[in-house]
Amino acid sequence: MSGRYLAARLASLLATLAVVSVVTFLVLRVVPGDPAQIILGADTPGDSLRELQHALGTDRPLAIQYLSWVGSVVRGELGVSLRHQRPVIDLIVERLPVTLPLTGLALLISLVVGLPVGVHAARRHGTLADYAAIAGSQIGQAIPSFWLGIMLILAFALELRWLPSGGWVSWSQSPGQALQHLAMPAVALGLVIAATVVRMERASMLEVLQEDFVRTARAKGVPEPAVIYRHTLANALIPTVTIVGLQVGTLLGGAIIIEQIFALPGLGRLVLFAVFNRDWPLIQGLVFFIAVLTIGLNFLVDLSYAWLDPRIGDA
Amino acid sequence: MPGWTRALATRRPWRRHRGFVAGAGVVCLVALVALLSAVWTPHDPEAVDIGQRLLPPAGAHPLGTDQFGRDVGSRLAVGASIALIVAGISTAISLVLGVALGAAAGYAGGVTNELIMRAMDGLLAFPALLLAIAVVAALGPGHWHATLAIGIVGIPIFARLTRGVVVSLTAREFVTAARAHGAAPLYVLARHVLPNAMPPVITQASLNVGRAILAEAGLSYLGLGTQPPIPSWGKMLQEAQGFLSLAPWLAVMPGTAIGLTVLAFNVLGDALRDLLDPRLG
Repeated sequence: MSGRYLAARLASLLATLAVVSVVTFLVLRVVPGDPAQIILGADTPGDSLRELQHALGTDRPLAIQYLSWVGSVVRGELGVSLRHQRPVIDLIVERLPVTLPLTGLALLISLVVGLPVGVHAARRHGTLADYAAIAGSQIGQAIPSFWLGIMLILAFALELRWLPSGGWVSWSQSPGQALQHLAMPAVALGLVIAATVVRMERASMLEVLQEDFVRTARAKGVPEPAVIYRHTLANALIPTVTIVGLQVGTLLGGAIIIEQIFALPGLGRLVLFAVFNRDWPLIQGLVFFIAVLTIGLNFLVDLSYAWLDPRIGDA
Repeated sequence: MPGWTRALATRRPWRRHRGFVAGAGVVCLVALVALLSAVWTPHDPEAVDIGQRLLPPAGAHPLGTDQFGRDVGSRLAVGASIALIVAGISTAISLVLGVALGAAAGYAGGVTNELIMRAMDGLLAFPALLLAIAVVAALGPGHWHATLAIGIVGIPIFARLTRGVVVSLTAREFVTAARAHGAAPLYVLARHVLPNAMPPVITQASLNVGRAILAEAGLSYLGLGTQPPIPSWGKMLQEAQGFLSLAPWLAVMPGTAIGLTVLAFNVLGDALRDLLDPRLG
């Protein structure tokens, strides 16, 4: 990986971050209605309203407000939640042990299910197994993950009584029970991503299988498993990794609904709490944090892309 | 005449394409149910009848009744019209603004291109649902605000797509020729460039309607989209979750409706890609 490639990627990362900070700031600041008014209610005397506006800093020009917000973000502060009366960053950090394992597990499930099915379908191109994989992937992309979650509750919590239907036990209390509470949410979230992985992996395997070097390997008498796993899969993984990287946003977005269904106290539920309580510093902090998390993970995927295919990093 | 109008003129491959027939068939069926629901449903979708609550599918209520004794079939039909209206209008918003921004960036190049595309990258960096939630949080819940939110989220996808096509077309001889003849930029775009950009845009629109239906269902499930008593598929699912052990069919029906409709739009989108522009494969 050349230094110039890394520098170019970093520059575009910073540009994206700048845009994201402006969007986050504007979406929630150019809202109809004054935050101070919302907090205090409609019929508040003008004095206390102006006092709060001054305390919140919303009486200053928009550009100044933006710069001061960016300044505090750079220092690692995301403001103070209006309803919790605690720093937003603390509230976020408290919820990470739920949301990060949830999305991580879901990603793992999507790869463990999606990659073998995609490879298998490509090897048996045009057979019944291939069509079944395509159909399964189409259906997986069409059904909402939250419906899948509800159906899982119906089957595994209410009928079979194998797993809890929702709620949370912290890792420190019982890692086993925490995992049990994450199992169904992670499957619901992961299977939907798996559908995309199947489709992508199948398509790129089919493409690579037609390349000359695969034919050469076969002609040289390389055993078929080695042709598939050493020669083809390594090349077919690159587009799949990119797509999986783009799914990070889908995962974090999907987690918002999934956490609601399974009553998991993660970032997603915090987002909804903030929205329904009009806790705008909390919304702003959360939206920015999740966007930065998404960008950061995508950046790592970009770098791994260059690592998987050295030709990209040198360009 | 660009390829896609020629493809429209010769209809045979369309009728033979199974994906197109199946996708378009189901889409038409859902649209028909939605249209019909505006003038007629078997029962009043908002009529509460506690004596008839949580009835399993049978007899006068072929899809059962919900916790207020409302007819699930009638509510699903009205839900179809809400889903199609929200998804249709939001896709139109994404398409018009996305194509305009993408065309401007691709045709003008330089600083305009950089400004527009960096802004689009920024929008794309947000998880789609989170951005939609943020917009709805700012505007307040409701299906029109959800429509706008979903529409905004879709803009960068159309902008990127259009920019890519416009950049590659602008370098072609026929566009250079038109420019050399002194044709105005807007004329060249409208007459020579955009018609050729339509096949991928139309394909994307179909896929986008599917995404928008999922997004509307998600927002309504969270209580941020369509508000009661208007029936929406996502809200119906959320309400059904409280009666999962008593009336599981309540949760099965709206999910099936969402899944089938989104599947139809996705299959239709894939078919359009095959039919309108074979090169895109």
